[in-house]
Amino acid sequence: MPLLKYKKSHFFYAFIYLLPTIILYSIFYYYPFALNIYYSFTDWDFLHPASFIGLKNYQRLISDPLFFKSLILTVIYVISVLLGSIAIGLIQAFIINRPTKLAAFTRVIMFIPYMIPDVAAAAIWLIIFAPGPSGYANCILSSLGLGNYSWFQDPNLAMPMLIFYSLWKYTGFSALVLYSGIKAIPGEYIEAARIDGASEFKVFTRVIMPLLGPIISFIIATNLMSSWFVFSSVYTLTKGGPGTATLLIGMYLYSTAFESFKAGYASTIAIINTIFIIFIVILQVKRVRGVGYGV
Amino acid sequence: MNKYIKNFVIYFIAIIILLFSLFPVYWMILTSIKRYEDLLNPYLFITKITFENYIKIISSPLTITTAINFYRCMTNSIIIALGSVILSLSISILLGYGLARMNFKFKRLVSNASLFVYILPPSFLAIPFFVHMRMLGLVNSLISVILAETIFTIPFCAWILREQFSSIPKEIEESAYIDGCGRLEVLFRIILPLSAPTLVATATYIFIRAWNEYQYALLLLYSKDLWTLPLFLTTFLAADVIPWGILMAASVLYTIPPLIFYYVTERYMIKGLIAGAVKA
Repeated sequence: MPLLKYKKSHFFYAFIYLLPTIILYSIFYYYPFALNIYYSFTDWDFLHPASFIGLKNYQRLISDPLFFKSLILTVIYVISVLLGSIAIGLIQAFIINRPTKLAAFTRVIMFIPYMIPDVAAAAIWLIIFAPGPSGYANCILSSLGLGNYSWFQDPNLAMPMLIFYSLWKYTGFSALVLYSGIKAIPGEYIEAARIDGASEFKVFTRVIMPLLGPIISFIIATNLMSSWFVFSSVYTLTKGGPGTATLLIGMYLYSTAFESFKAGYASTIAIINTIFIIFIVILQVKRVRGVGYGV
Repeated sequence: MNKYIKNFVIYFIAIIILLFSLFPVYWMILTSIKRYEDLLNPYLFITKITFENYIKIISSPLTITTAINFYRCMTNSIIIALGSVILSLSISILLGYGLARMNFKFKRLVSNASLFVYILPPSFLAIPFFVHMRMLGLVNSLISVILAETIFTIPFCAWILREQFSSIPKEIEESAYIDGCGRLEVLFRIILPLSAPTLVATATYIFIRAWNEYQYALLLLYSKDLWTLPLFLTTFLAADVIPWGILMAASVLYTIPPLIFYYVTERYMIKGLIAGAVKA
């Protein structure tokens, strides 16, 4: 092909390649996104035409105790799941990184919970932790003489149970990413440390861990993105209850919009939380880019 | 001696991890093949198994709180998953290739615009997306869910594919141009066949995401004919007396496809994860 023709067609094709994405995103993502911003300044309720009420929704948000409660619950949830899944994930990654058969088997098995669809996984947990004497967990505990619990329906236990469930469900992913990160570390570093006489544990804490910095930032960012607005697990396990004990932001957003039909106010909640997420993720992305090793 | 203790500790932890991961899955399968009389018995093993729960699901429409049909829901789930795979993958290929090989003015803008979609979790957009779909008259149709899945999977897929396309030496493409290939021909005849494993992994990712989708299906599909499997499962959870056996049998059937897809493509999925994580 003559060079000139090649150059000319270059822009045409660049345009063709990007066109579907641009069209799709502008119609189905950025336009609704703009709508969201607009609705956050209105008192819209899905039925009557929206009327502009300025910053009233934002004022209301600042004095809404339920919003602050759900914000605190979300922060507790996100931080517990994050720390738990990194800590347990590191142990798992350490174990599956060994060249034994059991390690390979563990690597295959530990990812199963992550692959089970949300709703099915929640159904299993609801059955094992069914309230009353019929649930399996209660069967075991009462045979040991420890009594019955209502688990997901107990205001004090619901939140820890939700965190416990999420750790079971999502740790496999963190472990696998950490494991991939360990694999990507150049073998010479580890070998050099071994030659210098470092024990396996020392190699892990002094050589591997510091090099995992960017990977851990990646996990923090992805975990944050997926668990801040967590919805389907909460909706199937507790529906935000009992009372408001597990009313995380995703659930509060849903119930404000589709149960009390305050679409305008719900949009405000969405916008404020979006700003939080962008802020925290940008901090993490900066760290991911800042640290690095020459792979 | 020290070595034995260390090995013992490691094996011990490994086994605990295995039990912790597997027990709920085991319990799901066990409950699905228990006889009704045995449901409340807490033993870990049963001697008499039955498949009546599976037969009940497969044979007829079930009436729990309302009459629902497993086949219908399964078909809808498959349509949504495959539709999303086709649509999202074809757009991601174009975008990924454009970003990997082309230099143009708005490249950074387009790439950041798609990264932005990746950063924000889907559920925050639920309200305006629902409203927008209602305005377009697409609410209560499978297309609306396919569109949602497509939008939310494109950024990750395009990103992974861009890494893959960039790793193919430019010389291969250039020699194809010299031999008289057009641009699209190069893409379809040379780039895509070389990227087959990554394409399979990407398709699996989209399939699993779409298969799992709950919130958008819950919002956008309200006629029972269009329900997907997760909506089918939650109907059971809403019943006054939850039919455990049937619920678990349905969960098993719902869980099998993503597990098979994942383990068939595991090698490539992990490769994709490394590319995504290390170069994040």
